[in-house]
Amino acid sequence: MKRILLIIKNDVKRRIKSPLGILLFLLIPIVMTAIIGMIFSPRAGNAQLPPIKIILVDNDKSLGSKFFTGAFDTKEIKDLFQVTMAEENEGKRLISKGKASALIIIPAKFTDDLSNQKKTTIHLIKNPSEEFLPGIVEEFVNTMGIVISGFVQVFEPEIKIMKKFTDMDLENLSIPEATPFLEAMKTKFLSLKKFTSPMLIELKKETSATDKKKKEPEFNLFALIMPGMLVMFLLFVVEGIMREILADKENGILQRMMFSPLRIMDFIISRIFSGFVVGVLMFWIAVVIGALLFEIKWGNYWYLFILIALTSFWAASFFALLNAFFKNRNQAAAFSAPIILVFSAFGGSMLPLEQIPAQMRWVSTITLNHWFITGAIKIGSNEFPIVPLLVLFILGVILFILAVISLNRRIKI
Amino acid sequence: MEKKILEIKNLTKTYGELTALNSFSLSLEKGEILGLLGPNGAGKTTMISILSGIVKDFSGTVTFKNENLFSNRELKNYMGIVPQDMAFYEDLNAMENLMFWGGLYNLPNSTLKKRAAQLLELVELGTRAKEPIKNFSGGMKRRLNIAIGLIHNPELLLLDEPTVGIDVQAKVNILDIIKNVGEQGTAVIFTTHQLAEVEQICSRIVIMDKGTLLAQGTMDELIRIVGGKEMVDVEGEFSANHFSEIIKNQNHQGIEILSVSDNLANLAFDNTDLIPSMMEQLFKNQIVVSDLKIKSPNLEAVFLKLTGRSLRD
Ligand SMILES: Nc1ncnc2c1ncn2[C@@H]1O[C@H](COP(=O)(O)OP(=O)(O)OP(=O)(O)O)[C@@H](O)[C@H]1O
Ligand SMILES: [Mg+2]
Repeated sequence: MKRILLIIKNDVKRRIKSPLGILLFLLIPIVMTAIIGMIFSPRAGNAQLPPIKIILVDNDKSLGSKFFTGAFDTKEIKDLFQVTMAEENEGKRLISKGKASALIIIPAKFTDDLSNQKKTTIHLIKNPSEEFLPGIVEEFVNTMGIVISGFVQVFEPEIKIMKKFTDMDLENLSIPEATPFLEAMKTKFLSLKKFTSPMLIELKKETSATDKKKKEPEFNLFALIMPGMLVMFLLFVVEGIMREILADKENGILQRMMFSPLRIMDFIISRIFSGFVVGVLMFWIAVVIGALLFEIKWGNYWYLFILIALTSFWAASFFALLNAFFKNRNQAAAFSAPIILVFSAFGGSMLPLEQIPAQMRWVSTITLNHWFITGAIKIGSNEFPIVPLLVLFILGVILFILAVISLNRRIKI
Repeated sequence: MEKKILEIKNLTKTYGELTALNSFSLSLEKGEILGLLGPNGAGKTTMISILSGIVKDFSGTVTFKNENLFSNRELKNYMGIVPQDMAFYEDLNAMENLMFWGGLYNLPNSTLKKRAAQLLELVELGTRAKEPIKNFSGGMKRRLNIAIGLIHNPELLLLDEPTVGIDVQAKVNILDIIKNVGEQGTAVIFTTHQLAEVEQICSRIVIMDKGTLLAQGTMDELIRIVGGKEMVDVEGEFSANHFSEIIKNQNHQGIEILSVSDNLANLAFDNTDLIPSMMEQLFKNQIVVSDLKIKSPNLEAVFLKLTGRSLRD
């Protein structure tokens, strides 16, 4: 036991002494999270993202709701969302069948309430099987809500007047007739920037067919991206440490260790736990950075601790096992990188799971990435991620046992 | 007190057809420095590797401290091994390496620290203990390599060619260290190609070739093997075959060919008076002798007589 701890301590110390490699692997996911977060942020409305399907139910069919639905019709937004108008019942049926990422219901009297400065609520029903895309919709609707709320407060008199022309055909409104309005609107537009009054539109979010009472945490796109990035780079770091099993074997270090009363088994176990410890350390640094930099609310830190520990353990055991089958370091390097990339692509580190063709999605369930990401998001929404934790634990133990047995058999000094 | 620390009996190791060690037996006492001398492929590394547990599947027994070396893992606490190739962590400094490698043995931490500091002085790295090993010269690395083998204060130290590929000064340095270790009561076995080294520091010498122990003893005992003969090296323009034919055909009593190759022959003469008649024969056979050296008996002669070949291939 003393010897096992010694080797772990030594391995970790060596990492810390030359931390450049790990820092780099820590920096990359953080920078990538930042970049992707900004590109995909709904505020930017980027064309790279395939259109998100949403169903819009307009029970108001008036000026305000037109303004709202019209927002989905602008060029940039069109690239982001694919909007289907529907009646409420039909919309609810479609979302429950998972035909779209989100359903937005604009209530009846939306415009009236707005112009009377009354609170009104837009319903957002999210597809429960998706995490990422409905989040974007939510963010967008939120933004729209803010804009319309502010707009209505500032342009209240104009809206009231326009309401009177409801029966008028708005499209034929001629510019000269509207000129006085436009002048007034211009001045108000400038003051709009300063608006701070309470929001009139409240967004009511639901996830279709799940517990409606549950309070959902604030949506943070970074919180969806960072776990995936992080686990991908954890795989790289831990793989590097596990590969040292072969390095130590090649440069005589392992042989020298065997001159002492140390057993091969001790060495293997130590090395796996070295990977584990470094993985956990790296994870926590990233978690803190994520919380500070991206304001990610990770959720219960004890749950997160368990998830991180099991994830690191899984990764260390997995790569230890792989190294039992590699002949040398070069071979390990050549095979490991593609494996990590495939894991990351299918496990949700690179793109959200819902973007992967349905018939390929099962692949994600064999990846570490998937289970860590799922777990992290669950913890983020204040759940105890029992399934991910169980899967990681059971697979981790199996991998660990297999790794110890096969390395013990295959390492010849 | 029992003086014998190591007893090797009938060690045999084969690699397929090749017999690397052939019924090799040897015993060693505390404080002895044993030089294992043999040409390339003699089986020296194989011997050391069996003792250090790297090579398996052999026959024969090794008794260390009155126990079967391979039945008790804890016996490794008393054996220090210095591999021929350097093996330590280059990203740690000398002190950190000693603490790590020492930690693998049963030693209290305080003893370990003291021992590490002592050893760094012994191998003259005391002032460089905290420096990155990357900055070390080849000789310094070798000294550290040896220090690591000594960190747990072993009763037996094995070194495989500790002086290969280093300059003269570093070599002298390392031999001093080994001598010092022996004086403190540690038994040492080290392998080498270099006759001068064993002459300098060994209390006993073993000459082996092709897996077999050919002779052992102190310097004086070994030299007696070549008796009171005079060693003569002959250089000239001749082929090995032609030269040996002439010597044999002339039936020169009292001249022995220790080894012969093209243009160089090592001979042992009962009496130097025989030299003129040999030169005459060579001259008659149109052999031009360019150089002739007469030497007193030495280990090299013993080695040549036993193995028929020179140490340096
Ligand atoms: N793993 C191996 N497989 C096959 N043959 C081997 C192996 N190791 C050593 N041998 C052979 O056993 C013989 C003894 O080798 P060994 O390395 O013990 O010699 P040595 O005395 O150390 O030589 P050197 O002075 O060159 O280091 C050699 O003929 C060598 O080729
Ligand atoms: Mg050798």
